[in-house]
Amino acid sequence: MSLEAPPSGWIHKKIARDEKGWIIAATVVCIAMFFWMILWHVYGKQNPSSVTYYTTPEEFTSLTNSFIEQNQIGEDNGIPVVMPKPESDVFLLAQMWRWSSVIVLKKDEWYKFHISSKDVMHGFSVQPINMNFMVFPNYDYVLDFKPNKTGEYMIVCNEFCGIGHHLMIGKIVVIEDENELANYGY
Amino acid sequence: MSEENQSTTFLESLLNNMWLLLILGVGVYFVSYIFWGWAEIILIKSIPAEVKDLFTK
Repeated sequence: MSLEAPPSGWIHKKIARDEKGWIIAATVVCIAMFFWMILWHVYGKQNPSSVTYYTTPEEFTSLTNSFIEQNQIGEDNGIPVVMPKPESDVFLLAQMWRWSSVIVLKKDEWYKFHISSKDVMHGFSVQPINMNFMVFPNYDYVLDFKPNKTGEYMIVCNEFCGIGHHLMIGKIVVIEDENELANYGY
Repeated sequence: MSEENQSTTFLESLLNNMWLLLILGVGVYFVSYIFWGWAEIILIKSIPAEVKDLFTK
């Protein structure tokens, strides 16, 4: 059997020079990658905030509705369009099969997104920049977000959430100044 | 004393026992990841009051 232990005393045998070299190289790579992982957490430009809060669908729905009332500037196919102030909290609720609002953001300004689900697990995938996060009911996932390019971005649900999953498309619009709103019909 | 005649050390007998290594290799990560997961879940707080106050009617 190939899985038998080698003859007794193998541990005292000297390691060949090339094998020792590979062991050292593998150890150095492991240690370097371990510290790089920590450094990347500090210096990486696209790290999530790693902040999560407990919530309930009722509480989050109420907060989202208040957020929409305070920031609504129009409607897009029956979906409220909101334009929160820079540096403010943005509430986005996912539910079968829609996103709570179309969000208008200013370029190069920070926003604190709170994302949660009302029913089942959804995915928050911003296209075409390919940003992906899972959205769970009962958890408020916080994302610090600074858009650096103007334009229209689609929010696609990338976790299968039922028969209307493919229709669950939201929108984020990034503008430089408010005169551009007319270009998007708001 | 030749290398073959030297006594078997604890490390050698541990490394020779592949089933024990298998159990340790799976078990250590199983226990530590479950502990880590529970610790994360226990440490989650509710939405801060100052954020709620901004959006409470």
